[in-house]
Amino acid sequence: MKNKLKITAIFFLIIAMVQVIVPLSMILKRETTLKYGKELKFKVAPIDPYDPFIGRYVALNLEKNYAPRNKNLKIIRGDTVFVILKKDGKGFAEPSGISLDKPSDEVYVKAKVLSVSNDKVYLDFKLNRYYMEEKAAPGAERVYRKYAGKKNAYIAVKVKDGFAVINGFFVGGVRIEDILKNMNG
Amino acid sequence: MNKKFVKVLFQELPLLVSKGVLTEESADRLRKYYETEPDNDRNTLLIMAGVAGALLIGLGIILLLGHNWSALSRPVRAVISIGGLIAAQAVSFFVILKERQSDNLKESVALFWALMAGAAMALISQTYNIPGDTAVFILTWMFLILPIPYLMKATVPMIIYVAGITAWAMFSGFAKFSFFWLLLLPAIPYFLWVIRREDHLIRSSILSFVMASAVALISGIGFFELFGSFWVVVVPSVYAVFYFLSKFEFEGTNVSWQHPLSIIGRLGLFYLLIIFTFRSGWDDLDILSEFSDNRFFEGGYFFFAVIGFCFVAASLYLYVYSLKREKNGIVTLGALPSLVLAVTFLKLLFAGFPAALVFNIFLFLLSLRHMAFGLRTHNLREINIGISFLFVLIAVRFFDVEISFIAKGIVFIIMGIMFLCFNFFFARRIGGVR
Repeated sequence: MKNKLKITAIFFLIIAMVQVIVPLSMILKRETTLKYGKELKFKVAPIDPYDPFIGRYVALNLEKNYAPRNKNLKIIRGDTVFVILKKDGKGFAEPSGISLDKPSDEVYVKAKVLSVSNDKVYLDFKLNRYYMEEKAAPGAERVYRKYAGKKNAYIAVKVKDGFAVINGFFVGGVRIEDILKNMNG
Repeated sequence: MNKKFVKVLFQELPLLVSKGVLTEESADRLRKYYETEPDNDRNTLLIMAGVAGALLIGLGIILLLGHNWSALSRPVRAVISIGGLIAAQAVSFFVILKERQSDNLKESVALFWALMAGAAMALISQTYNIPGDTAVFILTWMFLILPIPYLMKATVPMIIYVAGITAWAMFSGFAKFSFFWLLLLPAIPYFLWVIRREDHLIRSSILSFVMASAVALISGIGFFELFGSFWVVVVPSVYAVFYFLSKFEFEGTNVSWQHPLSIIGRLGLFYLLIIFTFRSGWDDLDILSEFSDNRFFEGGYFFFAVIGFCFVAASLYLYVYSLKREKNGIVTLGALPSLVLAVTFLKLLFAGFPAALVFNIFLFLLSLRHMAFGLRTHNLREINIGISFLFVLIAVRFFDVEISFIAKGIVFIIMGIMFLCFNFFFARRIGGVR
């Protein structure tokens, strides 16, 4: 009986550790990216749905969700590729090319190929949700509608070793949370 | 347990003893047997209340975190998500260490633990805007909680696991359905352990209900996708296997929710049988061409295809077995896969073979068999089943647009006359007996 309890306890400890390590590593990977990653801005068009477990969010559609196609590369839907990112004249990120090997000295993110057209490769950057406080998310959509066409809406993203973490959602250069605070205050 | 029955029985016992039907001894034994029941009921009630409590609190925490408090900084959120999980683990460990563990405590604590693992993941997803891949979220959560039922000997987390992997398969799409079977494997030792214990019928019944539903759902959709027209043989086989296996379900209870395999098997077979009575489906059937260019010879789907063929083989074997052993009669719902296989074969040989007609006759015979059996054994339930089968058949054919009004009308009138004759004869016979 004692022995059995000992085995259970050891088994329990292992499980408990694994259960903690998984979320902890999720946190650490993102914290290091936010701290040490390079910042990029992606233009977006947001709308406001919700997830029953995780909460309300702003669904983001990246404006530049495609890269020019290099016809020498064999790419099909569902492939994971490295997307090389450059900054355009206004400082927004622009996918400039695709590589199957890890680029060495450029800024890049991993992305999934959604579809391939004649000259473009459409990509899923997995940057599609910005979670906000329950009441704030619908407000964010309204703010975006109000300024649509007049001001830029974009997300700031930190990128490290091909891994991207969203660091904020901005309209006209101001954090969405601050815009909403000023509107209500 | 039916309380009314017990009450009536207890009232009757003295009478039965006085008339010499039962000895005082056996009456006492009956009393003892039925008196232990309320205890079991109370335990069930306690488990239900405990589980409901843990479920509400756990989901409540998930909802509160879902508000996404902007006042909480990232470090605070990290502490909450990991801290909550560790707290749930600590409570669970305390329960494991306890000498006398009550089932209701174990179930509720284990459920709370499982929910806290989900809450931790949800909070992290929210904080770091992790992309909305519901399938990945569910799968990670399910992997984290899979050991809990084994550690705590608690069934509710296993129910969540089975429901979770089913949801995962539905979200991921057919291409990943094969993995569903692999994910289901680790649940099976626990499942076997629970049904062997049998002491808490409610837990084992609900778990088998969820497992059977999951298998029926995934195999139904999957085999439909994978086998093309051949699904007409494969999908009924799944339900037929449930139907036959239900004969091995717990005995000593008449409550139908405690026979999940039987319910799901019968409903599935009956529903398919109704579908097979329509002509259009059989006309569109194109097995050979779909067989030749089907994808189940490709690696990923092969596993799934093997499981499909196993179901077919098992259902045929079990049918033959039941014919030999139980003298159950040829016309049972369990005969459906064999009949479909035979009809499909004949349909391939003779394109004009009236496949739908065979199933109409089969359903008709099935209803007659239930009625005859019910009359013979004075079992009102069987008579009702037979009558309702018959009425479903009549209703389906009445609204069937594929048959001409003349044909439908004539067949209906002939059958009506047959029933009136039967009624007449039967009434006379009963009258004669009186």
